[in-house]
Amino acid sequence: MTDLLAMQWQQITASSWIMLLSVTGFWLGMSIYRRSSGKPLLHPLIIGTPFIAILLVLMSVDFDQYYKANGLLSWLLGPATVALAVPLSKYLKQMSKVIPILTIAVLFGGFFAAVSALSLALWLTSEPIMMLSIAAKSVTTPIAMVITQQLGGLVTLITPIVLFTGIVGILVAPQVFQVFGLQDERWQGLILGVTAHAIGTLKAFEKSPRCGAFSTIGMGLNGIWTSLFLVPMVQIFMA
Amino acid sequence: MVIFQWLGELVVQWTGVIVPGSLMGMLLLLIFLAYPSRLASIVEPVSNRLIQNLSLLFIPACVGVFFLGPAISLQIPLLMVVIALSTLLAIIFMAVLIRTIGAAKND
Repeated sequence: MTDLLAMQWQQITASSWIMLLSVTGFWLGMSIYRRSSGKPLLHPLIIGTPFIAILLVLMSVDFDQYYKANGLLSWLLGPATVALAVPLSKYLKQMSKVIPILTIAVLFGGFFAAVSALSLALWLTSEPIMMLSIAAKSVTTPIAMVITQQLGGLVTLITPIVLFTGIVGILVAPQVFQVFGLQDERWQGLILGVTAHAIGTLKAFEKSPRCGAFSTIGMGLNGIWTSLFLVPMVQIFMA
Repeated sequence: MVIFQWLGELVVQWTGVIVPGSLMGMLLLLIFLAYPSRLASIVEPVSNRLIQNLSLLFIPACVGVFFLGPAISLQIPLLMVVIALSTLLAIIFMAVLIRTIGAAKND
């Protein structure tokens, strides 16, 4: 317990003024995003991060230094994950009516997302390390990191992979919903959560709190489910 | 939130399950919120603030994409194709799946 607290305290106190770059980038991304009335290609992360990367190069701050200086923000990811319980609890009653569909959709959807990534990676790349790094792509970042570590994939690569998955997810999902005539915002939310994790959930919350709540439960359940099946499955697969 | 995250980390340490502590903390808070109490009104404003600004918390890790090094960068276009294709497939798969189950239920 004391180890844990000491570790977290160290992470927070490592923060420095460099963190202001992140806040500025976020603010810039956010204001452009709002002015465009929510176009997914102008997502704050897409606008903000290249801006910060350019500033870092100009100021010759290396990435490790920058990442450490953002300890407070990285640490906040933990409590923020916990915070997702609040919108979830509000919609728990509504969800209990649709538990069968919800369970089937998450079990098969989560499984399909991981298997399709693995088989496409096997087909298009020959590098086993790429396969191991990509398998957890549909899972929210903190869980994906743990899974990738257990699989022996590249942990540095999983963050951008997860983010890119989320961005692709929110870009293509509205089109897919339209083509397949899926109008129910509960299921739209669930799909966003299972396939595009936190980025999808963010998008779902922009639509409505109800959509967001279903997205949150999709993300949470898929995270738990994937961490259970993926590691044993890949071990059998690679043997 | 912080208290529940620590509780979650502790439960994970005790039981040895491979779920991150913050996720376990979320499940614990969810169980606590299921019972009507004053807890909900205390945690709600904080929770809303955090969720509204969730993007900010991803920024540091996301900037890392631009600093990956040449060996991995060469693989990135191929990786992007794989991710984009499989994400698209997964979304279509789920949309069709849900529509099929939904239709079966209505009959």
